[in-house]
Amino acid sequence: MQEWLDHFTKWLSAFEKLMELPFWMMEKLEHTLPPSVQERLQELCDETHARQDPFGMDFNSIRSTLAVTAFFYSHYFRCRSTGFSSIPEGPAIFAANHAGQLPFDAMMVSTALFLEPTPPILCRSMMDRLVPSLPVVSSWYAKLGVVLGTEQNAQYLLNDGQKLLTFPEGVSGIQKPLSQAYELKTFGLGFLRLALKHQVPIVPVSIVGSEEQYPTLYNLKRGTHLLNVPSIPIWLHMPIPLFGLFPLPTKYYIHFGEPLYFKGDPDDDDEVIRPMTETIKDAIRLKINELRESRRSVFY
Amino acid sequence: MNGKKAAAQIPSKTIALCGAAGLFGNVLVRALHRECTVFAIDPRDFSKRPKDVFHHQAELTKRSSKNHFRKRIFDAVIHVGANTTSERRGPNKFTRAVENYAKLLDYCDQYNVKKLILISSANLYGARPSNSQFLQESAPLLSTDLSSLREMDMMTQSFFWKRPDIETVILRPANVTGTSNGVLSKYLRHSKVPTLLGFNPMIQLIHEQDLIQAVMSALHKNVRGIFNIAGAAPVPLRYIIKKLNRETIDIPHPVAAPVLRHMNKLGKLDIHPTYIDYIRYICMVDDTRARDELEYTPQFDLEQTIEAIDLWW
Repeated sequence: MQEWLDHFTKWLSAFEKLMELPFWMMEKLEHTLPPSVQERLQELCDETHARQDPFGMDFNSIRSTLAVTAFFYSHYFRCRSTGFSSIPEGPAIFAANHAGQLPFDAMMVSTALFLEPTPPILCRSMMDRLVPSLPVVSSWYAKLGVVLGTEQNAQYLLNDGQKLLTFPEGVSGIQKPLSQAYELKTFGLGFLRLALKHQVPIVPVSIVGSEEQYPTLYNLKRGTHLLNVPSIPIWLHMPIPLFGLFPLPTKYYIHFGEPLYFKGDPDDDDEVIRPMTETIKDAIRLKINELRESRRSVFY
Repeated sequence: MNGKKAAAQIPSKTIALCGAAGLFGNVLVRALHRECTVFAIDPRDFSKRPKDVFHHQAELTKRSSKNHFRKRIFDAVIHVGANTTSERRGPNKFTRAVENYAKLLDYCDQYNVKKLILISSANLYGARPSNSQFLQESAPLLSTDLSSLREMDMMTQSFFWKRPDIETVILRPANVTGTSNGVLSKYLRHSKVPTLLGFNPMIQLIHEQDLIQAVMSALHKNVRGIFNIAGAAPVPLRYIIKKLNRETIDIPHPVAAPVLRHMNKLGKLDIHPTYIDYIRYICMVDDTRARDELEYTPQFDLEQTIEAIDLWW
C-alpha cells in the first residue's frame, strides 16, 4: 500500500509541474516588457502592496500575465483604444458589451486601461459564479484581481474607491452566435442599482472586434451539465488542429465613452430602472456602429 | 483589557463556563478567573484548572447540573461550542451535544441568567463557489456538514425571540489558531498537507487571544446579537502552508473525496472529506459589526497568528 501511495504522490507532483508550465513560461516572458511598462507596474505595485488586497490580488502574477496580454493587445488584436481622457477619477463602473466565447474583451479592456492612460488605471473585473469552481482559473483570476460578481463584493470595492468592469449582458452576451453579432442583449440591472446606491458614474465601453474572434455557428445545449458549462459553442475555425483553439486575430477597437450620471432610488421597480440601462445601451450601440462603419475589414 | 483594572471595574461576576476542559476552554478559563468567579461545567476531567475555579464534572442534562443553576445566580453563561460533532460521524454524540445545549437554554430561561454567550464558528456559513468575499451575520448557515454547532447556533437564534430580556450573544470566529485544535489547525499540522490542484482560496485566521478579547468585550458590554470575528488580514491557503514550511500534495478535486477517505482509513491523514470545500472555496466573514459594537481590534498580526498554529504542538 505504501508503494502505491508513493507512486500516486509522484504522479501528482508530475501533474502539478505540468500545470505550472504556462505560468513558468509567462514568468520568463516578463523581461520582454518594455521599461515604460515596468515603470507603470512599479507604480501599480506600490499601490496594491500598500493596500494588501483581501481578494488575493498578487502583483507578481499581474506582471507575468501582462507580458502575455500586452502581446495580445499590441500585436495579436492590434487594439486601438480611445476616450481615456473622459474616464473620471475615483470609483466608477465600466459597462461594456460582451462577446467572443472567451473573455478576451475583458482582458483587452483591462490591458488598455493599464497601458494607455497616465497614470495607469487598475480596474477590477467581475466574474461569473461558474468560475470559482474551475481549478487553476479560479486561483489565477483571484491573483489578477478579478472578483466574483456579487453585490457585496462590488460594494466593498466601490467603497474602497476602486473601478469595476462589468458586462451587463452576462453569459447570454458572450455566447452570441455570429448571426446575432453586435446585437446587444438585455442588460442586467444590478450594476445600475449599485451606481445609484453609491452615486458613482457609469462609463459606457464599446468594443468592436470581439464578436468575430470565435465566429460561432451554433451553441450546443446537450451534455452541458456534464461539463458544468452553460453551452458548448461550435465555431468556424474549430476543425483546424491546434489553430482552431485560438481566437482569430481580429482588429479590436475599444472606446471609453463620456461618463453617465444617474439619480434615483436604487430599490425602485425594474420598470423605472430599465429605461436608464437603455441610455447606457444606446451610448454603447451608437459608438459600436460608428466604429464598425469606420473599419475597413474585420482583420485590419 | 488589563486584568486588575477590569476586576476593579466589574466586581466578581459569576460565570458558568460550559466546555471549560477543552483546549480553548482551558485558555478562556485562565483569562477569566482573574476578574470573575468561574464555575466550570464539563463532563471531562479538568484537574489542571486554576485553584479558584470550581469544576462540576457532569453532563448538563444531569439533575446535579440543574441544581447548580437553581442554587446560584449566574451573571453570564459562556458555552465554548468548539467540541462539536456531526450527525453523520457520530449520531449519539451529536444528539447528546444538542440535548445538553437545549438543557442549558432551559436553565438560562428558568433561572434568569443575565447573559448567554455561544462561541460558534464562521465555518457554519459553508464554503461555496457563490460566496461573497466577506459574509455578513445575516448570511444563511449553509455548511454541508450538519454539525451539532450549527444546531446550537440555530437554537440560540430562536432564544433571541424567546427571551429578549436576556443578553444573548453568538460569536462566530474565523479559524482559531493557538492551543486549540480546530479543523484548520489540525489540517495544517500534517507534515504533508493535502491541497486541491489548482485551488488556493483565501483564508481568515484569528489568534485565540484575539478571540478571548472579543469574548471579554461581549461579556462586559451591554450587547446582544450575532458577531462575526476575524483576525489578521486574509491570506491565500498556500501562503500559510509555505510559512509553516510544509510540503503540499496536490490532489485533483474530482478524486479528492475518495482519496482523503482512503487515507483517513489508513491513518495517514486526519481530515474528513466534508472539509474539502473549505480548501476549495472561500468562507470569510465581515467583522465590521464586532469592530464597531464590541470595539474589537485584533492585537496579533498575521505572522504571529500563523506561528501560533505550531507554537503549542
